[in-house]
Amino acid sequence: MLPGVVGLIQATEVIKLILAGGAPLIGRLLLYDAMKMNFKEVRVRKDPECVLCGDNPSVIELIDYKAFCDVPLPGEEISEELDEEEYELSPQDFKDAMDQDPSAVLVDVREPHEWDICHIEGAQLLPLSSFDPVKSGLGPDDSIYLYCYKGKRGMYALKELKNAGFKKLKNLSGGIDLWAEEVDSDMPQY
Amino acid sequence: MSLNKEEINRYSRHLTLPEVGMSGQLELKESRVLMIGAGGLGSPLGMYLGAVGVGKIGVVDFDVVDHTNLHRQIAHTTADEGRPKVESLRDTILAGNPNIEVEIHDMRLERDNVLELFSEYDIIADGSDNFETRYLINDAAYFTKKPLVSASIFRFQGQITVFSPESGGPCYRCLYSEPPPAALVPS
Amino acid sequence: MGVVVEIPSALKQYVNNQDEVEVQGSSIEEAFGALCSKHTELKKNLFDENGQIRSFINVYLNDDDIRYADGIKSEVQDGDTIQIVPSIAGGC
Repeated sequence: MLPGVVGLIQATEVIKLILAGGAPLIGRLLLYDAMKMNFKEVRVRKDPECVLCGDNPSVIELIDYKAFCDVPLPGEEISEELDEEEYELSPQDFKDAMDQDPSAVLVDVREPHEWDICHIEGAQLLPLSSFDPVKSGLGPDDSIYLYCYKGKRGMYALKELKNAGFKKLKNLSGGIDLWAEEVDSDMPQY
Repeated sequence: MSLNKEEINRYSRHLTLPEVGMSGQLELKESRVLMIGAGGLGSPLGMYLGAVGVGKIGVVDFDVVDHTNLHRQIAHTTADEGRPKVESLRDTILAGNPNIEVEIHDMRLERDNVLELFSEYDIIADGSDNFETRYLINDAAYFTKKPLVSASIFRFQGQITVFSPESGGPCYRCLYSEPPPAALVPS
Repeated sequence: MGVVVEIPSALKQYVNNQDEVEVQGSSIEEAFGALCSKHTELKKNLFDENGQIRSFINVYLNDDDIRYADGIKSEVQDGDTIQIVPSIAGGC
């Protein structure tokens, strides 16, 4: 329901601009919180140092937005490049590898509310939001099999573990979502 | 431009509002609004813009209606599953008001198509779902001198503002100079 | 009485899911220091490695951006509200 409220405010602002009436939300950011059910407003100033509309702009044409938005996590930039493919396993290969690996430890790095929807039997939950390789309880000799929803967060956790000295690491390619499609058809998808 | 008899009747409660009136209703009919995103924000946005009589609505989205969209993207119905969202939203808008034009763009907004597209509209409304597109839209709106009505949501919070550097206001980059690290963005 | 810090959805998980926290302090820096000493996970999500507020997070004292006051050195008084507002991009 939240998008409905926000989309209607957006429609109202569009119509006000067309009619050139009222006080548009220019220079004001409206914050809506559905849980508190309140609206707050903060001031948005034109930044004289803005790279686009400031006094000395450096963005004078459209740029590569993919590169611009590919901001690394702190510490991530100093980590060595890692060949992600080397650590990815398809759902079936992931399952087969675990079944044959006596030191396999299956780790789910999604958040608790996602775990409650569905999870793979035998996994332990270590959410990425508070993931700390040192405090994780994982042993250096464990074979760690990571998964998340689609595969992205598992790879971040894998990189953190690798930087912390863990060696035997695998990530479930496509996450639990692809697992539900290719390995366990009883698993709900969300 | 004028209103026909059916339109006068349809918009009569607008026409009797001094803040809108006949001149305002004609302004609406003459206006061209481009909305990016035909999902949660785009559904109510498009339906209301259409109902009030915005003359031309452009809709950009490359996605198809999925079962998991239905609980919040109210322009799409169960029967629309698998259809392009732009088509489903267009049909819903036109069912509400057949007097207007809806131009659909079943594509991803990119650096090489955005400027030409924006130039055909008066106002841009951003309801996209990622930072790449938001910065692209902001910059393109700035270069084409179009006001940008921006809305975004995360869980139970929403943010709405209007960027109009042309009239002395800030742009999206004035508000947020950089996106968050990709790893912190929930997918 | 102290200063109320409003926590956005995206950061609530680092402060025991509270949406506002009252802390003591005479500047934003002190108030955040008090907050982060109780909630250590919040610190790395709020500040970068140079101790600056992350560039995708804005901080408003009452309703104005602290970038246009004295940044995190801005003075606060009892009864003030500090609003943390992160950049969000959802549309669906």
